[in-house]
Formats: sequence, C-alpha cells, structure tokens
Amino acid sequence: MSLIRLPFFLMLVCLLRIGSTARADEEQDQIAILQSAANLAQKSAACQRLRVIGTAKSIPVLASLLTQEGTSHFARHALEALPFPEAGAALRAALARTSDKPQLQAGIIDSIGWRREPESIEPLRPLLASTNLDLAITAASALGRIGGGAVALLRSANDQSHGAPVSMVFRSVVQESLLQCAETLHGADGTRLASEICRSVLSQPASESIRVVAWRGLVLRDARSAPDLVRTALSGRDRSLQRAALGLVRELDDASILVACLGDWDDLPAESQAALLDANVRRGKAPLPLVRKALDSSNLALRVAALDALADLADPSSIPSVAKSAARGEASEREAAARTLTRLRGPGVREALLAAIDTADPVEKAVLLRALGARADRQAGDTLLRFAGAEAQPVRLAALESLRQLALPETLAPLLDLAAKAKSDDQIDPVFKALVAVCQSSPNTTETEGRVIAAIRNSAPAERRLLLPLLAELGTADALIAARSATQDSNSELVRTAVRVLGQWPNPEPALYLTDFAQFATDLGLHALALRGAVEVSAHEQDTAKRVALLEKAMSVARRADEKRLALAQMAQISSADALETALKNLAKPDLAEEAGLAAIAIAEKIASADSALADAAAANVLARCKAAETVRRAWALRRTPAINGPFIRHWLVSGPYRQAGVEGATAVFELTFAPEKADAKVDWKPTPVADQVDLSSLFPGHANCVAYLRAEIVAEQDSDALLLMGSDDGLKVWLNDAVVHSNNVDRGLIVDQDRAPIRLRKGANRLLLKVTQGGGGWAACARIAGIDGQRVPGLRIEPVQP
Amino acid sequence: MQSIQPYRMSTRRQFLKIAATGAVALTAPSVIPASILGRAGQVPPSERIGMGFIGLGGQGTGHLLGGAWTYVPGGYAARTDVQVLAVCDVRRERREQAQERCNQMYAQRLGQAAYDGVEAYNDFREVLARPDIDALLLALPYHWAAPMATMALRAGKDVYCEKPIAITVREGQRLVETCRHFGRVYQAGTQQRSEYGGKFRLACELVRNGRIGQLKEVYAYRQPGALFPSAWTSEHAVPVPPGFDWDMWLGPLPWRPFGGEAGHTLSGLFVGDVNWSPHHYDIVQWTVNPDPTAPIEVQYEPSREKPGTSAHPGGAAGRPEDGQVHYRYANGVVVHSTPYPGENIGHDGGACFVGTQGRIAVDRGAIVSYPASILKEPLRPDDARVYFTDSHSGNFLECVRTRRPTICNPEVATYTMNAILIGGIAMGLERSLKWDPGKHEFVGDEQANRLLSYAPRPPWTV
Repeated sequence: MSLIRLPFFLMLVCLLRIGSTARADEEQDQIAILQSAANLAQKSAACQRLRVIGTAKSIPVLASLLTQEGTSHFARHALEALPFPEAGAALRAALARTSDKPQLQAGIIDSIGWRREPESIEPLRPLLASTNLDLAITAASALGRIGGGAVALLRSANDQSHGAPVSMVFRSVVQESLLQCAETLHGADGTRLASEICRSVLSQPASESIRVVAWRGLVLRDARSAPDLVRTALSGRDRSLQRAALGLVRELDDASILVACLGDWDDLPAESQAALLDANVRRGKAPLPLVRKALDSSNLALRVAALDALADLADPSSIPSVAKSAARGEASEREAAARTLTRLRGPGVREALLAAIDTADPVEKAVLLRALGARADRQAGDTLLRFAGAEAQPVRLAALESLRQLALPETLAPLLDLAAKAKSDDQIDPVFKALVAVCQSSPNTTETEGRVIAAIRNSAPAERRLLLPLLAELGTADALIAARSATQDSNSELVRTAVRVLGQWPNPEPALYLTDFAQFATDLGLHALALRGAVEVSAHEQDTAKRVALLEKAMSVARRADEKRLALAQMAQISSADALETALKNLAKPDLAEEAGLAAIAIAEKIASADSALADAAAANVLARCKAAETVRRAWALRRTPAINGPFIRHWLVSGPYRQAGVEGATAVFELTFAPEKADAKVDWKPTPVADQVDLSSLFPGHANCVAYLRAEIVAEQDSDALLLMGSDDGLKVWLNDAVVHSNNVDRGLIVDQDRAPIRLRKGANRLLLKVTQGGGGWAACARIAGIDGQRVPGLRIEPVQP
Repeated sequence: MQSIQPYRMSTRRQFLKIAATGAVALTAPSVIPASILGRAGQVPPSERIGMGFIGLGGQGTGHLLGGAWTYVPGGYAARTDVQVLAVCDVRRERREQAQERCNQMYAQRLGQAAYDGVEAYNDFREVLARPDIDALLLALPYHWAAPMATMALRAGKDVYCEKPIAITVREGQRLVETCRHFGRVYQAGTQQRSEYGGKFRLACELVRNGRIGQLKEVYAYRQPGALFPSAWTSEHAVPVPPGFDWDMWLGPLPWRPFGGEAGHTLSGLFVGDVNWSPHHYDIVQWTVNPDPTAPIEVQYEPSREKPGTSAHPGGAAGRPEDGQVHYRYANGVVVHSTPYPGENIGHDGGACFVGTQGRIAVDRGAIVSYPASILKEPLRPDDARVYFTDSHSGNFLECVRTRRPTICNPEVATYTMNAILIGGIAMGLERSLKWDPGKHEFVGDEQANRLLSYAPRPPWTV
C-alpha cells in the first residue's frame, strides 16, 4: 500500500522522530497503525516505537501480530522488551499458535529466553523434545538463559541425548546451556550442584569447546579440586585443557592454586611456566629463583616473560643478565629487556646499574647508558659525561642521547668543552643536540647565556661557527648582541652563519637589524639571506600592525621579485585589514600580481567571518586581476558561501584501478596518466551502485597506491555558471568537457563539499571525469552541482551513461 | 519489486549447526602438506596459527593482504607465523579475488607454479567448522560483529574483530560472557593502544601518573552513537546483484528486501557515530583511571542544527543534528563528546585531557602538552605503566599462542562500546540518563533500558 492511501494523521505518526517524548495519546496512535492496513515498514516503525513507550495496553495488538509472517519479528521485538508479565504470557501463548510455523516459533522461543521468566520453563519443555532440531536447540538455549529451575530439565535432556550425529549437536547445545545455568547457582548447595554439573559434562562425550567450559566452571567452583585440576592441565598432556589453563591461571586470585603449580615448575612445559610467571607477577609474588632460571631458558616466550617479571622485582643482581639480553637477545627479548632496565626499581638498583656500566662491554654499556636517560635519572650526569667523549661510537652516542633526554643544567659547561674538542660535524651533532636541550630547559637563563657567550667568544672561528646556533636557542638580549657582533666579524663564513642564526631567532627582535643589514649588504647572497631572515622572524611579532610594518619595510629593501613574494607570503598569514590593503596594493604590479592575489585571498578568508563585505570586495578585486586556478577557486569560494542544496551525482561509470609498479602513495599516483585521460584510448567502464558517495574501496577492495576514474554526463538546459562541489578520499582531479577544472593532490578522508570549483556548463550534454587517488585505507568520492547562488540549477539532469 | 521473505533457512542448516557448535570435527576442505610448511627459516607448522578471514571489504582485505591501516607490510598473509586457510565473504567477487591473491602469494613464497590451500566461502559457518582454523579476523557490517564473534568463540576460535564490536549493550555482555566461559582470546580492532608510535600510551601514562595534576575533563572530539532505527524495514527493492548473498549480509537484522545499500550498515539504523567513535572513546576509557571504568551519567545537549541537515546517514559518521553528550564518571571526571575549543590535535582518533596543572592533546598525528615541559620529562621507574605492545596484530597473535589477555580484550572493548551506546541512546531519546555500569542498565529510566537490545532474526539468535 502506498503512503498516499493512508489517512494523513497516520502518516504523521509514522514520521514522528522515534526518540521524541511520547505524547499521552501516542501509544493509541501506534496501536491504530498496527490495526490499520498500513504497510510493513509503517507497522515495523510502530512496533519499534511501542517497544520504547508501550504499556500493557499495547500487548493484545502486538500479540495478534506474532503469528503473521510479515509482522511476527517486529511484534516480538516490542514484546521482548516490555516489562510487563502480560508480554511474556503473550509470547508463551503464541507458541501453540505458531506450531505450524517453526521459523516464527524459533524467534518467539528466543524472545522468551531473553525475558528469563521462570514461568516459561514448562511451556518450553515439549519444545526441548521437538523433532525439529532447530526448535529443540533454540529451546535449549532459551532455557540456559532462564537458568535456575531449568537445570533439572536440561540435565534430563542431556542424559537422554545419545546416538546419532544430530543428537550430538543437540547435546552440545544442551550441555552449553546446562553449564550456563550452573553459573547462576549460588550458595553452598548451588556451588555443589554446579560442580556436579561440570564434572558430569567432563565425564561425557563432548566437544573440545564444551569440555573447556566445563573444566573452567569446575576450577572456579570446586576450590578443593582446583589445584590438582590446574596442575594436571598445565602439564600439557591434554592440549585443549592446557590452553584453557594457560588463560585461567592469569585470571585466578587463588594463591593456593598458583603455589601448588609452582611446585611442579621443573616438569612443566615452557608455555605453562610463562603463564605461571605472568600470574605470579600480577599478584606481585613472582619467586626470584624461578625468574632467574626462566631467564636462561631456551624458550623465547619464557625469557620474555621472565624479563617482564624482573621489572617488578627489586633485584639489582639481575642487571648484568638483563643488559646482556637487551644488547644481544632476539628482537622481542631486546625490547622487553630495555623496558625492564627502564622500569627496574628498588633499593640498590641504581648503584648496581652504575656499577654494571663500568664492567660491561661496549654494546651492553650503550644499553645501560641509554637506560639512565630513559629512567630520568637526574643524578647520572657525571656518569654520562664520562662516556660522552668515549672512543666507541655506540657508547658515546648512547651517553649523549641520555644527556639530551635529561637536559641537566650542570652538564652545560662540560658539553661546551666537548663541542670545542669535536673534530667533525658528525661528532658535534649529538653534542649540539644535547646542548640545545640544556639551553631550552635551563632554569637560569642568565647563567646559561653567560657560559654560552663566553664559550663562543673564547673559541676559534671554526668552533665558534658551530656554537653560534645556540644563541638562537637562548634568544635573549645578550645573545642577540653576541650574534649581531658576529655579523661584523672579518671571517665571512662566520658572518654568514651569524646572519642565518639571526634569521632563526625565536622572537622578532632581529627583524629590523636584518632588514638594515640586507639593505646595505654588497654581497647578494648575504643580502638574500638577511632579507629572508627578516621576513621569517617578523612572523613572531604578535602585534599585527607592527608585523605588517616590518614586512613592508622588508619589501621596500627587497631587490628581486621573489624576495617581495616571500614577504607577501608571510603577509598572507596576518589577519588584518592593513595586511589585506598591502597585499591588494601589489595586485597592480605585474610580477607580483599572482602572489599578491593569493595573499589577499588568504587574508580575506581569515577576516571573512568578521567583515564579509571587505572579504567579498577583496575577492572581487583578485578575480579581476588573477588567473591562477587555485587563487580563482578560492576567490570564488569566498565570494559565494551559499547553503548548498543540490542533489549528488548518483549515476557514475567507473574504471580502474590503475597503478604503476614502484609508484606508491596517493600524492605520487596523482601525477600518473592513464587511459581515461588519453584521447581515443580504449577504456572499460562499469556502472557503480547508485549512491550519494561512490565507495571505491568496496568496489576495489584491498587496493592501494592506485587511481580510479569516474565518469558522468550532465545535461544542462542552457549555458550557465555553476559550482562543482566535491569530496574525495584521497586526491582528486576533475575534467569538464576535457578541460581540467579542479586539481587537489592530497592524502585525506572524504568530507562532503570539501572542494569547490567554479565551472561553466554548456547547453546539452557535459562530460564530467573524476580521477580519484588511493594511497591506502578509505577510497571514495562524491560530487554535486549547484548554481552560483548555492541553489539547484533548474533543469539540470544527470543521465545514467552506458558503458 | 522483490517479495518480502521474513526468514529463509539455509538448506545446509544442520550441517552448519554441527559446525558452529563445535560438536564434531569436520574434514577441512584442504589440507596443507607438512612438507611445504616447515622449510628452513620458517616457523614450523605446529607453531603457525591457522587463520580465516571473514568480511573482505576494504578493512578485511587490508588486514589480509596489507594496507595503510594494518601496520603489517603485506598483511597477515605475509606473516610467516600465520597460515591463511580460509577467506569468506557474501560477495563472490571479493572472496574469489582474495582467494586468488592469497594462493598466488603462497605459490610465490613456496616457489611453485600453483597453490590451492586457501579456500573461499560464502557461509561463515563452514569456516567455523574447520578444526584446523585457530583464529579468525572479522571485519564485518556493524550488525554482524558481535553475533558472529560470539558464534566463533563458541566454536572454539580466537577472534580479532573490527569495531564497532557490538551494536547493543546486550550483545556486548553476551560477547564477554562467551569469551570467558569458553576461555578464548579476543582482540578488538581499536589499534590506537598499540600503534602510532606509542603516542596514545604515553598520553595515558602521563595522565595516570598525575603529570597534568588531577584529571578533570576529557574532550573526545566525537559523537557517540547507538542502534536507534527509525524504521526496521522498507519496501524499496532493487535486484540483488549476481554473486551477492543478501540474506546472509542481512543476518540477524529484520528482513527487508535489498534496496541497493549494503556497506558498513543501512541508512536509518543508527543515531550519531558508532564507527569512528570507538577509537576516540577507547583512548578516553584507557586514560580515565581506573581501567576499566565507566560513566555513571550522560547529559544530553540538543543540537542547534536542523534535523536532516547532515549528508551522513548516521552510524558511519557523526551527525551534528543528533546533538552532543557530556559523561560524568564515578571519579568525577567529565567527558565531552565535543572538541577542545581551539585545539587542533585530537580530531584524528584522539582526545584532549584537561587536569588541574596542565593539558595533553593526542591523536594519530601528534601529541602536545601545555605546558610543553610535561612531555619533555620522561616517565620514571616508579611511575605506573599500562599494558605495553607496539603491534596490535602482533599482540593478538602472541596472545593466541600464549593465552595472555590481549590489550583490547572483550571486557575493555565492551566498556568502551557501552559508553558509546549509552551516549547514543541519550541522543536518540533526547534526554539525559543515569547509568549503572555494574548492572549494565539505566537508573530510573525504564524506557531507555528497552533500548539495550534488539530481537535478532532466526536462525541468528545467538
């Protein structure tokens, strides 16, 4: 039946949001729908709503639907949740009325089981004996959920199930249900009965899975037998039970079981030993002699378990062994040992670690030195400095890495000395990193800067050049004086380094000095370096008016167009009308127009929400002067921010995936050209499922580093300007009537309308081609067309295209 | 129009039921000759884990054969400690393609012309029936995740399951109980605990060790979601594509004809987001000490967006018009489903943790702290640590071998999923709710409690 044949009020009721608060008469409205000739979708929605708001009043009509094939499921969905005894009674009553419809009856039995009403046990009894295996199994499962009083019935069914394979299936479900019931038994008698049930199932023929359930149940319920059961299982003679025991010992809180098992240690297989270690570590009771023994095992998993255990045991004597594992073990062992060295704690551990460093060979020494850093040992400075100049590279690098990590103020002077003695860039690099860390975290900047400046002043030019970047890390007034003074040095390399350092300054202080330096520099290279530095440090100026002034000054001394473009690009980061004005002023200069346009658009985008008129005017100005596709696209987007209301293109043809061996990544495959982009090339096209978004990862599952093409035909009633709105995962290139109208080479997830492009539709058929890249993961695309006012384009049609 | 068929029983029901209950050992369709499995340098066959892959869309195939999200080059099929034995999908093309690629890969590895040891299945119960399969990787439509995982656990298999791991609270409870009763290993596919350079673990440990002072608030950047069908069925029907088993895809959901849609879920079934939110809320739950923990109250905040303004159907992505929620945890921490205002880090699977002495924001791309010194100070030996692994799939396989609990075991995963589902129910009902995490039920809202489950379609009454 169609919706239009329903009374209007029923339609309204159907369309009500399911979650909204119930009106007083809503239940009656929903009942009316169920009693009407409404279609199945409407009745299912009514049942869904009654599940939430229904009272006992709804039960008769829901009950009447239980016996009808179309509605039974929806009705029991409602009845299953209604917290009224009448609902359970209705379901039970329906059992007899559906005896000739086993599929409906199976659903009803299941719902009865979920309601867990003891009154349902008897009505389910005959079904447990049904010759229909599905019904018997469903009844057994339902009884298992009801629990309690169902035990006797299920025990009896279990005892009676013998023979043919079919009854073995039934027995398996009965056994599972019986064991499920056992879990619900409480008190001394309940525990006794539960143990008895588990024991009886274990003594009967049963699947491996069921045996495990019964065994676990017995261990958890029968405290007296549990130690023996676990010990026997851990011995490994019964593989299924051993695997169950490996899991269970890790869950147990019962110390007596674990103690009993430890008594068998030497006779246990390695995987059982590892499980026991884990279990004891969890309780904080791992016995050290066994851990040490395990550390020497030939079994890797056991060694790793022992290393993990040692992390929690305050055992300084184990450090040399752990260091050996960290230096020379297998991969997982090395990682576990390194973690243990980091986490090992307790009295004497630190002293033992330092002592071990002195006696260890270089590889183990490096491991131990790294551990000092990873342990955040702030007293380890002297030890680390002792090895920071070591001949052996692994030792030296490990010590310096830990010094970097710790960044101890007291290591500044020794590290400066080390830097002064460094013979190559390779040698100074790790020292310099440590020095940077120390400078950055120094609590006493004055003292630090004094030491650094003195060290620089007292160094020869070559060493001074290496240390100068530390001044930028300090960024203080005195450091700035020292850096500026270095720009006046007679050593040209030193001057160049000093200018570069000023350009990396963490605040805008050197900006004007660098601009002046650039203005008067005779060396073109130095001029460019200084100007670039001036522009870059200007970015740190928080006062936007001052920042604009700094950049205008930089532009005024720029000698080449590319230098001015650099300043414009920085100007683009500023969100102010002044910056916009400066950018727009440069639109008239032919060699700067595109850069100025891009900057103006970037600024306008930032201020659009506060001053949309100014942003719109700027966009119009840019559109009049600039041609670059990206700039034009963004300008259009800025001018028009309509509330989009156009339908998605749902009819596509797809071709792909295309790939080229050795080319990986979404942005790399974007550059490749395949058949669909080539004129007259033969291409296999297939229709996609009709949907708002084309899920290419479903069409081509498991593909990565490739592209697919989508083709559609858009028929316009007349020539018109429009906006093409797109979303893609990953990148997207678009042609309209063979001309590229959009290109966005990115690795991203799809968001509807994330890209926009102005397009010109011509009257009649327009060919739209999308190239969608795929690096990995999701892969999809969507597109729609709106007028430039954001509304639907009148008469626009998307025609299904034939392959 | 396709006629409505409420139920359709498989003709192989009895055979398969035997299989799914693990009652008998069926002969596997193919036996791997021992001679090809224990070559020099390879893991011996006795130590190799026999695996089946069910659900071969983007995520499932990525796990199987490699992809950006699997963190293992070449996928599970390339691992020497795994033997792929079965691939299964209700789409013939997908399963046959996966089968072919796996067989080609094994043939290449073995240096032989052909290999046919990987079987393709339409009906997953045949995979559950194979005694040589130890573990399964499930990457399924949302409504299948918990029922199939539960059936697999009952059949004695270990399970790695992609999120969302359950779409109702009852499904999650059943999953936890089954896993515990049967002593199986289960891992949820919320990989952020293991991957991404340990950024999430670091954030968690820093917060747990008080580096931002006392944790007060968390911003989860993502709406939660819940099963909240606007209608269970529809009369819209289009022809079922050849090679696609629609009835099996639909599984426990109420019958409806194929309407052209069969991706992660169906339109109109969910409110909010159940697909991406598990990543965010998993990290939130991990960090809101103690773990596992749970909210006790969900405050609903209506949206200013008009209904129907979102382009998303619900479920797979958030819908602004569904509103937002704010959770209160027993230890006083408040978790917002919204982003931290002005913070860019956190949107990609992450969260922002706000304490009395600082703030940490983390996502897949970055971790930042305010002040910055919080991140510069390494953890000390005395600091508490959380479960460590740097490979999610590696952790699953290791736990299959050792029987240790995984980093995202069903209890942990269900706590997270429950937080999401109760938030979604609050959004669906458009009201605030109180939650009892011990009893798994709402307090004082009997209507909300009716939304903790749904009635599955036989025979999928797990």
